[in-house]
Amino acid sequence: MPDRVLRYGLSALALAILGLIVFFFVRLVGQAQPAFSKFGVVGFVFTNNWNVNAEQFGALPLVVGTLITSGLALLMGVPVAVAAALYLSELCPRVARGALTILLELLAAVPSVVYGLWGIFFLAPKLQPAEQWVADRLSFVPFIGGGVVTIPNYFIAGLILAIMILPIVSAISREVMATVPADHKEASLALGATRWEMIRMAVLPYCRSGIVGGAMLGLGRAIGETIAVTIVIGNAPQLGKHLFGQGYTLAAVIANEFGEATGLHRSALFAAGLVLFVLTLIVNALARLFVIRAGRRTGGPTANVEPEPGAQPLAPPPAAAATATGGGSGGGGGR
Amino acid sequence: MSEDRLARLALSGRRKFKDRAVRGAMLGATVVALVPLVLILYYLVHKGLSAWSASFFTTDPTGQSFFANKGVGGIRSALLGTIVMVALASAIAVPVGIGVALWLVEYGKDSWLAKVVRFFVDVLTGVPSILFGLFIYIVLIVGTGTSFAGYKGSLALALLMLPIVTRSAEVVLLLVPDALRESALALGAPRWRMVARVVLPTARAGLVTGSLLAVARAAGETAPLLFTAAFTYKTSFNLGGFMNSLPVQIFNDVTSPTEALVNRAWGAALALVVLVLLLNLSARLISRTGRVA
Amino acid sequence: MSERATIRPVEVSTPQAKPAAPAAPSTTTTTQAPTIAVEELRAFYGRAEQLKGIDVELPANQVTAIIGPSGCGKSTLVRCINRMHEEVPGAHAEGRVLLDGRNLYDPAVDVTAVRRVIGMVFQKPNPFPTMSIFDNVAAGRRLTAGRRAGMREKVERALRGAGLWEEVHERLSEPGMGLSGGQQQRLCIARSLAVEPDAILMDEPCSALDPIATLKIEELIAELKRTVTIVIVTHNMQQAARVADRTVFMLDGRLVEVGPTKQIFTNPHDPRTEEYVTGKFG
Repeated sequence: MPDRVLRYGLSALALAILGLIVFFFVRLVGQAQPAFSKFGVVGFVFTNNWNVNAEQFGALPLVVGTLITSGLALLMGVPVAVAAALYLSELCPRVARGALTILLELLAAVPSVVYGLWGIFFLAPKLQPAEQWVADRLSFVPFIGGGVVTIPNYFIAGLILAIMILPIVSAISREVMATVPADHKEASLALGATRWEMIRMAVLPYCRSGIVGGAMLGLGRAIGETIAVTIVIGNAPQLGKHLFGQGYTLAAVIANEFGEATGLHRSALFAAGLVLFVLTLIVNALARLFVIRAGRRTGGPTANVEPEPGAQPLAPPPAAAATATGGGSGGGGGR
Repeated sequence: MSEDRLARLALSGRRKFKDRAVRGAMLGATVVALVPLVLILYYLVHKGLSAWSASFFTTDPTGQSFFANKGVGGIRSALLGTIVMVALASAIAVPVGIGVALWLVEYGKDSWLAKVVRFFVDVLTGVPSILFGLFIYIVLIVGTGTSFAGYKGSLALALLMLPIVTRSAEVVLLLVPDALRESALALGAPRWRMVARVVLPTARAGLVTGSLLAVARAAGETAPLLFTAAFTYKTSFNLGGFMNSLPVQIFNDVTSPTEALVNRAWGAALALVVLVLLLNLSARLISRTGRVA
Repeated sequence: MSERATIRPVEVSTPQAKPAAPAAPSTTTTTQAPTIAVEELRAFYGRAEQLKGIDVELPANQVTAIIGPSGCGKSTLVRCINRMHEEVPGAHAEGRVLLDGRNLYDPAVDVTAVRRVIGMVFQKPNPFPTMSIFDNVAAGRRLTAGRRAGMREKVERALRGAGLWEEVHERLSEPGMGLSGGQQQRLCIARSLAVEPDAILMDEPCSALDPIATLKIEELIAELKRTVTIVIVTHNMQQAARVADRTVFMLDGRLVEVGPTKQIFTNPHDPRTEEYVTGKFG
């Protein structure tokens, strides 16, 4: 009897999670309905006019702001994260590895509001002269140069996001790198490869889809990040003229305006939430696909990659798992 | 002949340079990645400590910041509100999260339903935290026609914690060797006893670690609380009413800044980071001392 | 040492024939390969001493087999010869490995050059999973040669040398992982041949293969020694007897006995060798 209680109780819990998400989606669509029926779904997403007083809600400036800031975050964050992951997993002396890894993961523990606080009162003012210098020098480049640099701007938001996604991208990259069989690395070294040539020959090709997956999980985070961006982006509901100008994002508009919103405005904010939801769903689903594919190829534990920083110490030593599963058939490994 | 070949095949300057340059760049990237952490911690301590005083922790924020630049009060209500709301959120999310993980590992396994559940748990991990706030708002505030309340904030935080707890618990439960399960079942123990006596105790350290990390994450979240628990100055233990929290108070102070409020924000941020880091470090210590299997 | 010549099936050392680079194996040409001398070699994993002072000579253009029970250090010994041992975290080696008199552990010697000159074939076939057959073979050469012309001939020569050309020449652009286990291992041999090494170390190259694939590799080894010096670690004494000119018996990180294969298996001098080769332990 208790067995069945346990079994069905736990099954009910699991099903409740499914129900919860579907329920949320349906209710969110319901709340967004007035805005969508007034402006149309396409009209809402692609109209460049967010004017609360005129009751006009076209979310294009928010969508573009979200894409610009999270794109910047990828551009700046991923190369650093992957390079740091390579350093920690392939080059770092063993004594320093543990400490450096923990420090890097602590970056993920800093609350978002603290990033915002630091970003607006330290980072943005300190970087403003440098940004202005770049903007002046590159005044002939559209979108980057020419304008007046404001303290809160797209670039600062992207930079803060880059710092925030760094630990996740790096942690997943490291997990994938740990599944590269020692055989492949030794094969390249035995051909007379240097460390870098070994990384290029044996490590990177093997990890490509896992790293892409990690980057996309980071992108998902960047798209959905709210509070830090709200603090440093300036919350100006128009398409920013240039990189160092103020903007807005989907998440920020909700955090900033929801408190005072009523009627159509509130519905438009729900609609913005829905767009954000769908956007992150797509990005995350793609990311999972890549990470799972990487995990399936190696038979390692990457399919279970949990993007939280703390999952690292919990996971089984990936190298051991990889050799245990990889030992069976040389041909089964596939591509 | 070999001697010539050894010399001839030695790394060319170009290859050697490339190797060194790339290794240097990777070390550089690691340093660059750690610079923000150092800067943030430095500024937090530098600015935060000067805001700290005994009364900082024992007084509520006053809201008298519009005309005077002093007497803005401390963070008592925020600190207590965070603790109370996160405690309730944990009380919900940890059992449910571990329960779902148990189902996945012990019953669902590789069935299609388990795959669907796993996928949706992954989806939940990727949902922006502000949407959890919106969700609770739609269901418990629009849906019931009532106002903000501490327990609604807790529920939003619990939703946020749930996938984190489930994911880490699943990893840990999978580490419990099947041989242990089988030997318990072979002794005639029913499955629930096997789970209660063998699986959970074996995985305990890992479960605690995962849960603590989820708690740390929830404690630092602002967005889910904005439209669920809202904001108040007063200390309150009434989960049915408005509640203050550290992240929300910091957010409010940052977005309507006067010098005194910004100083209070730094002090509160230092307190929040200390709280979160303590949770994080204790999670790591536990996972180090009590590893599964 | 004089009895060595009588044991060896073919006398291959012809010091006069000395082309600039080793040619691909064929039935007619032979190339002078170097002699490898190991002197006072000690190898460590952390503090644990795995090799406790090894002195042995591995003669040119011969196949030397290293046998011994698991954990005796035979793999460590070959991995010390091309300095792969030091790639294991925490591992290091002391002593000398002389390649025609040149100490490979000399600080002035470039470790990547050592590995170019002394190739290695591993226990498990390990072609690069993301590369085609062609790219696998070309991988080593590309490190130094870039994408210069002539790569095709080099790849063909290496594949012929590994006895794989006939089987794969029509599908060079297919992934190396698509081959059978034995073919993969020969692909790995081709990969090390492509950089034209003077010696090849084989660490239990057939332990993951079926008997027919094993036979092919053994025939290949007999061919290859015309151009390179070969050291093969094996746990299979029949294999040692079949392919090796000389056999080294190791125990507990020490060298017990070395001699012509026939003598080691039929008339060992050391009682421990006798116990091992007659199957009393190990």
